[in-house]
Amino acid sequence: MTVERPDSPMTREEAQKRADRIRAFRDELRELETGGVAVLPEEVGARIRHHHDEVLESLAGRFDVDRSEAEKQLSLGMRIASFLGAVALSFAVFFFFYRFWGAIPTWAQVALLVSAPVLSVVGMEFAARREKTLYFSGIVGLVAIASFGLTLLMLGDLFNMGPSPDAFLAWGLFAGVLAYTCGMRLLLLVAIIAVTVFVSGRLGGWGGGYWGNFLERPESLFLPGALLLAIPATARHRSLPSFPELYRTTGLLAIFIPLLILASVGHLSWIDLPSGAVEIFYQLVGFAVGAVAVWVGVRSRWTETTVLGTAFLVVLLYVKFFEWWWDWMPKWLFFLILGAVAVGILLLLRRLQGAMRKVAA
Amino acid sequence: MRRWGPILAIAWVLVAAAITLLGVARNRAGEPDADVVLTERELSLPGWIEEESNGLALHINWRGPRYPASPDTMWLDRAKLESLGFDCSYPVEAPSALEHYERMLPREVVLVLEYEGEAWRKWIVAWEQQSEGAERKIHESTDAPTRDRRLGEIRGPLERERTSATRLFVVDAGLDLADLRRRYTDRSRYILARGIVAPLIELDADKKIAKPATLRGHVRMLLVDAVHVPHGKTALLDSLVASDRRARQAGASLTVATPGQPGMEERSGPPRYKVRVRWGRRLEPWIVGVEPM
Repeated sequence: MTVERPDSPMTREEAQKRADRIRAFRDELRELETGGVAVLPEEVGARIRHHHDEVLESLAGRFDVDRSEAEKQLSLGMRIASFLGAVALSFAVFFFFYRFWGAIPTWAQVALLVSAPVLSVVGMEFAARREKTLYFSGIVGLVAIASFGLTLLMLGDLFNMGPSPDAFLAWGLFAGVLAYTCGMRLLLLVAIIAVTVFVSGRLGGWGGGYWGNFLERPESLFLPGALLLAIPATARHRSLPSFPELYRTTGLLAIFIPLLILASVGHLSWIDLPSGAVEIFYQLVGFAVGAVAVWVGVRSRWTETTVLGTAFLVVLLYVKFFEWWWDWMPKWLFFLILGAVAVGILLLLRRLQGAMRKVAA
Repeated sequence: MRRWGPILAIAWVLVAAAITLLGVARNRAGEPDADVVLTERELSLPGWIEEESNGLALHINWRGPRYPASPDTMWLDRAKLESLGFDCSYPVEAPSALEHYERMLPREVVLVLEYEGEAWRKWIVAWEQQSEGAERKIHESTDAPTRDRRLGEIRGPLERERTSATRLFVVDAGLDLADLRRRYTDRSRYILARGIVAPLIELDADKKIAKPATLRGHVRMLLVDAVHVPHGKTALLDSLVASDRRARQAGASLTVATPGQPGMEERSGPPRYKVRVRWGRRLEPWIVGVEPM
């Protein structure tokens, strides 16, 4: 029998999932054997064990996957340590500039500011070629993004330029390129936030207001939210399977948070109607959008979409309950209603689950 | 992406830096839009600098239509707001006028800052008249020890206005830079700078039940409110920063509250330096020289 090797293009996440499946299979098989439900013939069992050992060996060699729970916990620790290290190194870069800034001529300041992100990218690439887990390249990637943010900020200060949303576009695109280069979700998150600020700021500017006040019109987040949801729907991320989830999560948040605000504070809207009418409009839109999100999430098996949609519906409902009833209703009755609503949502979701099981069967 | 990503990222850094520097060159090319010699009164040292920091930027001090209003800055009225693009058609008397105008987004405009001009002179005259009136009342109604103390309280701020407060006043605003420059031709006295303006409903404080009284605008901020001091021009300012720091550590108070602007402070005492500043085509300033006074 030939041993199946994971030679096909695979990411570390996919490799880790495969290793987890093998571990789960072994655990379950042990349970079955202990309970006397089924025992594999010695020869078959040995062949499977041997095959899995080879697969795990290969995956570990190529992707440095975690083969046990203890290894997984260590990896989590390393991820936390690398994040903290990146933050600390970014501060080091900032305070380095801060300390020696005034002592160097302008041309050298510019050269230093430009070379810091360039050198960080070179360092990231250097680290990426020498490790499989990308912990160190991730650290240097974050430092590169912080350095470039600092470059844009300090060039602005150095030459007395006013604040501009274009700086966020430049920063976001840079972070996006690095995120796709080393496959780090944290870098993609920075890119998403920066580009969202740019799009929302520009929208605010086109509406006549100063771009920096875009948060005073929460609707300016709807377009970036929709664009974020459109990215995973139109671009396949075969080699970066965790990115679509992040796009959907941030896209939904960019839509849900403004909806929550506008459903309670209508005068922040672009719509030139009485505040109460705007609030009712956004409450209706909120319930509709939340329901669609849950439906799409369940149908497409997007856990984050289902969870966020459900959470949004519950929060929207609770906020409205609070506004309607808190002042006059006895507290025990208020919380009783909240509890009853939670049970109602639970029953609704269970029915949905049951229907899905029937379809699957 | 894995292969080309680092190259793309580096190229992007270089392109972004090049675009920025081209913008700077464009701003500084040709004749400056304004070329003004200001003093410490208008360009103050930062109130506090961390010892670890050795970069320096001078803060631009200005007076004008802020909140709350002062009588000499009422030029930013309803008509001016409309000319700046604000829709002021909603009646000010309407019960929801306050909410309507408060929710209006501020706008970016071009402000005209006048240096040591008519606005400043009027401001000083108004202070003098106010002080004279107050002094008359004190002479008429108080005993000698109280009189000296209260006279000091009145004359001190007036003297600071004459000798150490800023003479830079926002006197006009518009959207068309060329039009403003045609009207304010003296480039050594009128600075055009970008700033943020927002509408404001002023309530009539005299009435027990507050009612919307007037609609006017106020300048929220200058978009560039500090000017970086380039390397080679910091020696004098560094020595002043060091001496101020020593004085503060010794317990001296170098600043006083800015009249009419809660939470703001300004330095008391005559200016110690003058700074030549130019504003370029994109209305971005830069320091040309710093000299002692």
